[in-house]
Amino acid sequence: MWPRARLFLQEALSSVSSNLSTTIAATMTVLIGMFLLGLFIALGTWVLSWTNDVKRQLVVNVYFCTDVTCENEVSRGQIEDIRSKLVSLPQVKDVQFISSEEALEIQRKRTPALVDNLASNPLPASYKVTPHKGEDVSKIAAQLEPVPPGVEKVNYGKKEADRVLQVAKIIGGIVLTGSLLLIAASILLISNTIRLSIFARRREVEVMKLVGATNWFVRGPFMLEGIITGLIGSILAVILLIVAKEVALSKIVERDWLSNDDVSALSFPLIALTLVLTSLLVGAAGSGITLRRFLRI
Amino acid sequence: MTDTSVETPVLTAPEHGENGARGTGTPMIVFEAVTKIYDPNIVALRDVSLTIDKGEFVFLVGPSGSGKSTMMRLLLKELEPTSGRIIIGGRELNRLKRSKVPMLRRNMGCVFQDFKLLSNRTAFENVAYALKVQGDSRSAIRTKVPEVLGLVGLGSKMSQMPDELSGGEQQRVSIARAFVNHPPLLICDEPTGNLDPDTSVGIMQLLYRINRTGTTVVMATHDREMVDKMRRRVIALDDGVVMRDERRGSYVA
Ligand SMILES: Nc1ncnc2c1ncn2[C@@H]1O[C@H](COP(=O)(O)OP(=O)(O)OP(=O)(O)O)[C@@H](O)[C@H]1O
Ligand SMILES: [Mg+2]
Repeated sequence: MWPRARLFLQEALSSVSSNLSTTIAATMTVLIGMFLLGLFIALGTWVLSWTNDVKRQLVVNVYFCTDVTCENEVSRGQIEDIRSKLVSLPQVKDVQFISSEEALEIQRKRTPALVDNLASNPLPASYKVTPHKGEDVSKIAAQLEPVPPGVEKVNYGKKEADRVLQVAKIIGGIVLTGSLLLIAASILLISNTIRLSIFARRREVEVMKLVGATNWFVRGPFMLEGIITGLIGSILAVILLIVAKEVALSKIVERDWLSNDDVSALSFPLIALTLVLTSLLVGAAGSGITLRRFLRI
Repeated sequence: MTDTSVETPVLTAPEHGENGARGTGTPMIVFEAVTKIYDPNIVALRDVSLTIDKGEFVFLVGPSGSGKSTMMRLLLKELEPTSGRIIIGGRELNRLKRSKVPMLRRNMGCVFQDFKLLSNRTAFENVAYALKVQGDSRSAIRTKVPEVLGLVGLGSKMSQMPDELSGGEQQRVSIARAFVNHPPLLICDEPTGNLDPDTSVGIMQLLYRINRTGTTVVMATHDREMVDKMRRRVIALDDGVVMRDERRGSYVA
């Protein structure tokens, strides 16, 4: 088996060098296809991660009665009752109590001028209820319907939340179909380039068969050539992606709205591995499948 | 170069051809009512039946389009007959498994009318390919290839590409490739078609010597002078039909 593998490699390498222009064309095709795919996967997973982060910020606010907003101020017992009810809900991840003083502090940070002119604290105490999934905020709010005693109102920013969730869904769809389309397009593009180069050499295949080469003896070097092309093309694409990441992305990430630690793309080594494996597979399978019809001699 | 007692699973050369001109009595090639019709409706061979014995030297003559190349392509199992049976070395080609076809071809040297050289390989590599397909070692290739290329007079042009060789030189590379394995059966489609008379005689002498070692040689040709001079078996085809089959024949009846 080993001398045969060496022979295949020699044949493949000499074929690569004697068909240099088609090899370069095929390599460039792989390079472009895989670069775009890599870019798309990186951007796509980053955007997905960003929408997830936005979804994570969706919460349900339960505002308690003050003596101004209701007839009676909320009691400790009522606050505890509502907590235990919320905690028992399967969708709820966390319940955080925010006293009216804390609410004022938060407000002071946002709009200092407004708060400084207040005679007394008009803000109610509240629960900030964090769901496991952003989509569940409406369900949690529905559990507090009708409003239990001691609660003034339940608010989850219905309109905002609905919009965020819708946008997230659309982005997810775009990323998924885009990736699939791009994968399909690059597979088609690469295998078509391989097809063309094999078509140009079908006489060669015919001669090989007529002097007694087995199908595998013909196929081996061709498939190895496809693998070499795929390997070089995808490695170049990965290098290009690294350069793009270092040069372009580093400048954008300086901006604060992007520099969120909770938002990140699929890890780069994983993307690189995906690209290299995809091109290897397409290179080998593309050559093998295209050759089939010419081997029937 | 004179030893061709290569034992092979598919075909075997006879022990020794005591007289190269005549067969040994065991058939090498049998055609049984073979008809070949090309796709729309072109009849290339019509009900051809013949037997060629091991060790024979046979000329296949006939006008252009009479079906000579078609016979060779059928022997290589490059084509399937429309009807009838072809038997080579006791093996029926119709029944031969696809996986056994490479084996058959390795035991059958073939000089093609259009040479069929690999255009991006040197003369040396073209001949070497026929050895590589059967797994010969590099050292065996390094000794056998120059030897056979020297024999056809191309010892000094081994590293030239086919398009750097003349038609006659390409033809000789093709002959070298067909013979480098010392196959028990050699089929040649106009091997002297592009050669000057002197070189033609040289190639004929080479084929004759190859035949003397027991190799069966079937040669399609238009070379009337050569056929008349050699006085070997002549099978004449016309429009796909065997018109004549003479033991010591001539080009025309
Ligand atoms: N692939 C093909 N498809 C259709 N018809 C073909 C094909 N190959 C050959 N023919 C036809 O079959 C007939 C026999 O052709 P063949 O090549 O066997 O002739 P030949 O005796 O070798 O001629 P030449 O002496 O010119 O080489 C011819 O009429 C030719 O046109
Ligand atoms: Mg012909």
